[in-house]
Amino acid sequence: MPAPLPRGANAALTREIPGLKRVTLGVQWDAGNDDVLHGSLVMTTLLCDADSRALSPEHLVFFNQLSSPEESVVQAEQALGGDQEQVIVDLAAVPEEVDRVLVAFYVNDSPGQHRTLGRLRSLRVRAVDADSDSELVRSEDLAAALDREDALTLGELYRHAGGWKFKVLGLGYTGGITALARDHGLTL
Amino acid sequence: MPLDPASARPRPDLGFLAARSARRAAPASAPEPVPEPVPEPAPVEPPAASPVEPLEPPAPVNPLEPPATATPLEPPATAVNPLEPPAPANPLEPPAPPPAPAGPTISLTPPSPPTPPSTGGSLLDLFPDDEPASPPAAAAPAPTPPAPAAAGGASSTRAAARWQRPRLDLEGRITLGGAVPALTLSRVASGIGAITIDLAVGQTQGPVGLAGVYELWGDASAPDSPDPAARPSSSVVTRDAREAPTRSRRPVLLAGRDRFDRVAIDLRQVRRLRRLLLVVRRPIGVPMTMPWAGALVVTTHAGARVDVPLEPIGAAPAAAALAVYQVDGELVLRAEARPAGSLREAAQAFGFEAITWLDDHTPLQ
Repeated sequence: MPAPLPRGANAALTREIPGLKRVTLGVQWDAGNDDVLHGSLVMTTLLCDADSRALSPEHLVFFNQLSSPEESVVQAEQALGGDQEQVIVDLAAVPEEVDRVLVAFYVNDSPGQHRTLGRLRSLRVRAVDADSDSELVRSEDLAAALDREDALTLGELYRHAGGWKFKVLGLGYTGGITALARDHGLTL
Repeated sequence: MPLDPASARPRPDLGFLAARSARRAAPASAPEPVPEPVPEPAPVEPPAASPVEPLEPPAPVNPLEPPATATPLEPPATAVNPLEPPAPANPLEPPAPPPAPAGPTISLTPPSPPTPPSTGGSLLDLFPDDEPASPPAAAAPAPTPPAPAAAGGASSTRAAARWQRPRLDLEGRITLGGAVPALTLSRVASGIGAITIDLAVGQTQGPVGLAGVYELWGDASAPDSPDPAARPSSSVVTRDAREAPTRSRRPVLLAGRDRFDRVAIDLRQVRRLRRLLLVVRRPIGVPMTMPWAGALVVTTHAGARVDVPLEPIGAAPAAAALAVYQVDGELVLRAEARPAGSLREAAQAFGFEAITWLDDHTPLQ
């Protein structure tokens, strides 16, 4: 198992594995006994241009919109390998105008209930070769630095020198998915 | 006898079938994003019959999966954690004052010509794409009147097959009724945050109330859960019986009162909602000569707003004002304006037959 990547670190996926075609991005978390928090957590993926702006609301993939329009990014109906949620990225099918595939995580703003990510016991994102199921990258535990945040960018796949790299982000927001999406050009 | 879709008789009256099929087509190499139906646990109360039933989604997550092997916590290599100020959008904020005429900020895809209103009842017609609700004559003006329907039989048939409900995306404002009796919220608007529905009325209306008559699917993420709240259910939420499912720790619907009576939908659980009927009602014993005025105000997480005027109801003790259906993850809103003698009568007129009533105004929870 590779050593966990800290925030800000990246890995050159296609340079290490030239034949890499599809990448599974998975999220693992532990909410302890807080089933309200557990049930309110959402993994989402934004297909962004070089300025980190999402192409459109249709390029936001989550449980209620299971794929991007061209289906290069598809949310798995059932996550495997210890992940709670997963998306599968078909690298060759990602549109040219998409420079970054951003993986984010947030607490849904449910009526009468407010939770923050600071209650999480652990939170990790990982990248897996979807064809061989071999783990390529695993982040450090991102929960350790969380407090009042209710949305978080976990990591991003991005184009680099004709290939793809993966970077661990860990950028937190206290304005929920609304603030996170606004930073990426979407009004939610 | 084997069935061949290619040779099947065309059903232009079921336009939504073609639209859904086209939208859900997926290449063989990609995982199918359409939720597959999964067996439901035995329902507590059988839902009302419906000719077209939305698919029950599979569990999107696996809450029973153990977490990854714990590793010692390490401080972040780079201090990247700037806190953002709270987002301004708050679905629990009181809504703006009641209904104003629809402004020019409507964000709708252009509606195609609607088909003529059906004369059939609504009990077995829960998800019609091509049947606008029968609007009252005094309905509010539509912001974007549809183009006139094409003349001629064949053209009309094709137009009916192509007709789709108007859609409301993340921003905008619209008055529902008249030429726009129904609309569909986008997948993002139907899946993020919460949607609130407020009964916005003036003081002259007196102590009127809002009730949400609902049907919920079972919790697909916990199909074997012994928790009664995970089972399919049908009942009513009001300011006095706030949660749906009843006594749930994580309600799909939450009723209460802020400035006005309110029902909120937790969109993280939108797939559990089968349908919701918003009923307005006057207190027992109040003279029924006063006509209804005001509106139901639907507000999305992003701030898009749908107003449903109450004036078309006229004078009645109660009325079904708005129906909300969840169709494959998208919420469909339909103005109803159907007077009734009581909450019970309004619910039963829409086929909510599984609810047990203490009297005409009080469901057994």
